[in-house]
Amino acid sequence: MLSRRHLLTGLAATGAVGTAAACSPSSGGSGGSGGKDSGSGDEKTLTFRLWDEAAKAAYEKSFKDFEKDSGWKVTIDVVAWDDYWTKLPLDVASGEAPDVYLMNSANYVQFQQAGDLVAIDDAVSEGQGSWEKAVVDLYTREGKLWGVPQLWDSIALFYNKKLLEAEKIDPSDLSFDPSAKSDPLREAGRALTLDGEGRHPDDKGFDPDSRSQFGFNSSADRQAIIGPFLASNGAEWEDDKDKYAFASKEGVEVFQYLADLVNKDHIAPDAADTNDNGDLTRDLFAQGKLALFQSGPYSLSAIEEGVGDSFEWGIAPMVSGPAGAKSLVHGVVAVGNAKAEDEKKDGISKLLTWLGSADGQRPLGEMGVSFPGNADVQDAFVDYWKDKGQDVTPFIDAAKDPAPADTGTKANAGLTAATPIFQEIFIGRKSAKKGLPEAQKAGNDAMS
Amino acid sequence: MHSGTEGEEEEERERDARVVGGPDLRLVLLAPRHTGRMRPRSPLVAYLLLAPSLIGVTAFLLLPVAIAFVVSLFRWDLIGTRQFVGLQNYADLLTGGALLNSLWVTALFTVIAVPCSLALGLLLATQLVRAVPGSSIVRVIVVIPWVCAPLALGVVWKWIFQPSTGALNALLGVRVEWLTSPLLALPAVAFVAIWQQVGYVSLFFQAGLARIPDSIYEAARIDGASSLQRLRHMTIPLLRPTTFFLAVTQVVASFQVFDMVYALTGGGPSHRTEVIASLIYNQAFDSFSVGKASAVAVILFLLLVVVTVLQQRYFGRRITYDMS
Repeated sequence: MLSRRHLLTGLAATGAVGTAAACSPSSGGSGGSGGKDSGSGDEKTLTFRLWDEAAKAAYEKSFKDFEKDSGWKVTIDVVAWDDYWTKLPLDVASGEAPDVYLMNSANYVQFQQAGDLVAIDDAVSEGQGSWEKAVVDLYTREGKLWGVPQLWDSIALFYNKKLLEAEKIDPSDLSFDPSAKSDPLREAGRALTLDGEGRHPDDKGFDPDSRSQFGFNSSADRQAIIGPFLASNGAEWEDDKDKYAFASKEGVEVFQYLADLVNKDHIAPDAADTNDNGDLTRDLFAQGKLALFQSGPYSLSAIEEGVGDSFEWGIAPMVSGPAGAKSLVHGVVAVGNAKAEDEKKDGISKLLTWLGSADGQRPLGEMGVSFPGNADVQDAFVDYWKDKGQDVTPFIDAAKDPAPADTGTKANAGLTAATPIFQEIFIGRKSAKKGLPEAQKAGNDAMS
Repeated sequence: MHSGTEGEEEEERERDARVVGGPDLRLVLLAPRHTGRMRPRSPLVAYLLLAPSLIGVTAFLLLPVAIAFVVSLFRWDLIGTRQFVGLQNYADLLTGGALLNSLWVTALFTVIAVPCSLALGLLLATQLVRAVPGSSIVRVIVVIPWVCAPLALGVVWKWIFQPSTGALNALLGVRVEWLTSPLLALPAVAFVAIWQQVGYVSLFFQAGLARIPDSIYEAARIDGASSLQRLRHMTIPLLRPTTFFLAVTQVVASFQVFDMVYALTGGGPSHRTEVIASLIYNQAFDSFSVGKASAVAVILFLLLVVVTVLQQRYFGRRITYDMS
């Protein structure tokens, strides 16, 4: 029979074990997520995590060939974007990180500095010369490369052919100049914007609240609008110490310009609609209600699906500024888990090598996921869209001389802190002169 | 060993009840008595029976609270090494503006949402307890928002509140920026929370109203009390235990609200709807400051303890009525 002492001792032990288990991030001792599902029997298993459901089929196809020759099986784990950056740190902290996973430039430095990432130069010995240079540069830190380029995107201008032809506008000839009273972008925007009565913004009686057609998608979109316009006006986003430096004269000037396109020129949808709904302008374009839509290849599929046969559309180079047309290039890489079990290191190295190869990436292009990080198979993506009647080479041209994308420790935290103030500027409640220094400070404080 | 029939034992208990306190105390005194005829059981059995819930409470409630407190003493980004900083996270939070802002936002949200949902829930309950045709269907309809996931409701209401394409502005025929206006965003979020909770609140009030004997209202009517007087001087006081329960749970729920706010505004515009739970989330998963996030969670925990104790004291001093 149990005595009281025995019972209390048992409860205390249960609590202690529970406490230890909960407090110890690496209590499993496996050091990697694959620990439990690998190494049993003859089949060796690696885990691969990504956030894009659309890319899953392409990777499944790619891994079939990898599994034939390598002796490793790969399990794909899709975690939706909204959960990806909350789940990954938790998994890393608890020693349950996947063996290979996709990473973006805004987050990788934190993982790299914590020693969680495999140095690619040590793990992959072939194929590096074919990788997209802009992406390689983005993920090179302390003299080493920390990810195998997988997908990349740049910025170009989607346009509605019918609407532009009606106003005789050449989409490849659009530029902006904040210091001028007007410029080709504003002129085109005014010509393409209509209210419910068919009046343009310059017409008497124009009612911005009843607009049925918009000219351009100026909005608080860091990747497609803010970043390219800042760089194209000669402004810096970050300095060489990874600190925000956008509140410069050129930065304030171009931010006010973008906000004025919304609130003063009335050629872009209201920020009250676009601030919390990043897809609104894309949807307006697909509905034929927005004539010029500056965005990346990530919008291609949704636009193609949304537009259908309702009108013809095309892709032109992005809007250029006084400093030229400077696109942002965002690259996604595959990173290896440096804290995985020793017996998996060889498998991780093999998988990273495969993911960097032309054969490993070909399905990404052939299935229209995005531009593959291996330049040798980029034509597969170009051909995919050529078959659908679209020329996507403006994206390739835009990647040749890009502006630097977000990077550094806690880049994501900085952008999260600055964005609400950007939104206030776009909505017109704050001037760029007042708001931009505030945003810069908030962002830098969050990153410190 | 106990001798005698069950009937004799029952008679004996009733006799005891009358002698001590009369029929009103019957239920109390009819409880099993330790008469010396039953052998006292070992407390070990009690411990064994308590063990499952004790282990559950310890592992899933007390332990996380303790861990959160310990983590709040560290600077930790989940990925890198932990650095002990003592109470620095608390000092940073108390001197920075984010915590005070989120406390203020949460307090405002609570002040708007809780009284309104209680008042509307009571009003709804007084109508639904009437046996009018179709009332049972209405009872089901009003609790549907409560059984739906707050995140899904938030997404739906976000569409409804859209300035240009939303159903609400289309219905009103005016353009109102419900979720992006600094003045309207919090009331709009509170409105959705009230809309979701009012059916749940009314369920409890309906149960409370059903326990009030009709004879009390009849007596009041004979004495000439108006319906407003009956509500104010009879219904509301007699529902005090229900009101206390709802006030405590609704205040706690308001202080913990997150998913609906996340879906509706994400804490914006300019942090005007950043409730405490949003701040915890932002600190943990946007800024990767798990120590600070834990410090906010500890502060929220202490705050809720204080609020609940104050509520208990407030309601505890008021008279409650036994209608048995």
